[in-house]
Amino acid sequence: MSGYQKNMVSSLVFAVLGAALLIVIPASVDIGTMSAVGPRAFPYFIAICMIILSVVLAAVTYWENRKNDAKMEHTKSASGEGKNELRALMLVAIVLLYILTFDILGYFGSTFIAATLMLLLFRSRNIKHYLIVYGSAMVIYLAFTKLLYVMLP
Amino acid sequence: MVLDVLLSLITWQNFFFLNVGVCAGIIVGALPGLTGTMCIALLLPMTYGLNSITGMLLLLGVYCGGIYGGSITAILINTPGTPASAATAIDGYAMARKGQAGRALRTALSASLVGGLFSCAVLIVAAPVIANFALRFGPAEYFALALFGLTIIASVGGDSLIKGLLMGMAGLLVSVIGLDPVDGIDRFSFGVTSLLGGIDIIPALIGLFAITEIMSKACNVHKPVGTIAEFKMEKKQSFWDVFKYKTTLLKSSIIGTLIGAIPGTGAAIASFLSYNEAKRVSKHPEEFGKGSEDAVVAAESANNAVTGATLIPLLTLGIPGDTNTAILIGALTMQGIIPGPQLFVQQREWVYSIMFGLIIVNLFMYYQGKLFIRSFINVTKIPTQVMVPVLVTLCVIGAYAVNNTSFDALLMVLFGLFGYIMKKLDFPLTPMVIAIVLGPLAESNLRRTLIISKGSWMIFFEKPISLFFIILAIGMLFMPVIKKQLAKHKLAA
Repeated sequence: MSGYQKNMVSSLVFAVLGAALLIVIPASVDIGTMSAVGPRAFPYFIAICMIILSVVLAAVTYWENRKNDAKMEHTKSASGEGKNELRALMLVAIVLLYILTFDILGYFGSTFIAATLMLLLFRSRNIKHYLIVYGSAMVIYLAFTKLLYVMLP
Repeated sequence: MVLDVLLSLITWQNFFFLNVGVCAGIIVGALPGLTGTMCIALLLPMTYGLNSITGMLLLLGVYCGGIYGGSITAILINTPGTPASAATAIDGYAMARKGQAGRALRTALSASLVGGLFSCAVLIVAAPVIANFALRFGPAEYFALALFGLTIIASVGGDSLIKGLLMGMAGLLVSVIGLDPVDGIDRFSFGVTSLLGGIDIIPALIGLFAITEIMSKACNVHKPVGTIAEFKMEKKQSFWDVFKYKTTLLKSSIIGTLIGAIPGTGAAIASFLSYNEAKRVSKHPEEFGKGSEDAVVAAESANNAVTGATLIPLLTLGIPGDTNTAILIGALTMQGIIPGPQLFVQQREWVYSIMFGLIIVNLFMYYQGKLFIRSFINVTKIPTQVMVPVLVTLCVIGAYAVNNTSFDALLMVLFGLFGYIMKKLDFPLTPMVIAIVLGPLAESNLRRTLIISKGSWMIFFEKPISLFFIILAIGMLFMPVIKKQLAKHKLAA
């Protein structure tokens, strides 16, 4: 994505978010006190600012693009970059799975599965890596439960 | 009071966790791609189970250690571990190429200690004076102060003021979720009970600063760190050798302290400003860039001098000057401690324990750096494939431990994903954190003031302290222009 595209997409997203807020506020926030600055004031301020700033960002981006007389530099993605982003998203999926199984399988079960999946995702074939990660999980468990008195499932 | 302060400071828990913090900070600071900020966010949940002083010393240890740690890889592989060490890399790596890596490392360490101790001294002297002045603040002054704090967003917003402000709005939006602070009316919880109390800052911090970086690290999991220059620590080099450059040390420490005390600036600006100044007044400016020890002294003393100074606005006014202090506010909030002038009245011993504790943090940073430098360097060789699962585990446990609920861990992942996408779109994350922290302060004081003034906005301009902060806030919005000029200066060097 070029800088121009990034800015235009972001301004659109924030403008839509601001507009959505304007619609949602009356339904989601009670009017509260009759004073000028009630519970809705700050959310309205945020929504309006978001819309204005989005429009300004889009306008500035468009203006700079015209001034430079070329689209902002398109950074050519290396062929591996798509794979890297996919790896990051798969990592997020593993973390979500980890959290969802945390209370069901307990700390050790969910951590063992998640850690193994992450190492497989990074194509790690070294048994030492697996042992270090499992060992670290044990140390973290002891640190939180024995030293910091945090209850873990 | 001195005895009370010493008694609360000198405990085995404090020394143990302080050293854990320094060690973790140096290691993470040294690792390119990971920052001290991330480490502070990761260790933040651990402070919940600790005494408030111990918790703060742990995080301050990470803060100071992280800034020094960046100089290790800056010198040995020309890759600064943190932005604050970018200036150190210029001459530090040049010294390493000349076979003086050990000397450069020892000089960086000694200069860091001197800069850190100088700013501690300024903190101890200046903070009570500022706090005393701030005791006169009412809701109008607090709102103006929060507004000033929010305009810091303009200066930490990177190259784009508009993007910084948009992220600030996103942060304010997060801060209004939950019960309204004045009327207790539910806002944007959509029936989710866990959201009634608002979004806890810890999952937001861990998500934005730890998960985001871990995802970025996962993208480059097979990227090599770089060849580490061989070095030998010179036995004859002592701490006092750094005083050969006493003028540079003093000037750079002053620059670092002044920059650190101004919210929204940061250690990177301090180190480059000091580097430029040292070069300007040097008798041998041609040596800068080619392995000048004077240059390393300038950069390192300035960047560590920022650490104590950033605590001045934090402790006296409750205003975070940068991301690290915004996270420290999260730690204080977790412990039920509200930073601000009242702290110096109601918890005087606590404040002085923290300020004097920072001196001990700097001393242990020096000794750890001196004794364990080789071990720290070996840590940079840990493969990313091993580091990522361990960091993820810490993040999930940390977020879970806040309220013993998976909901917070899920929020953490959402914030992490949001932060990652925003980084890809070149949006800065710090403004969002500052807005999450200051939003409630701004809104509640604004509404209280307008209730007192019966709806008149003139009250903010009639009170002199409030007017002063409003003028400062307007000035802060021009900070990006000033920063651009400073950056031009940096390039000219």
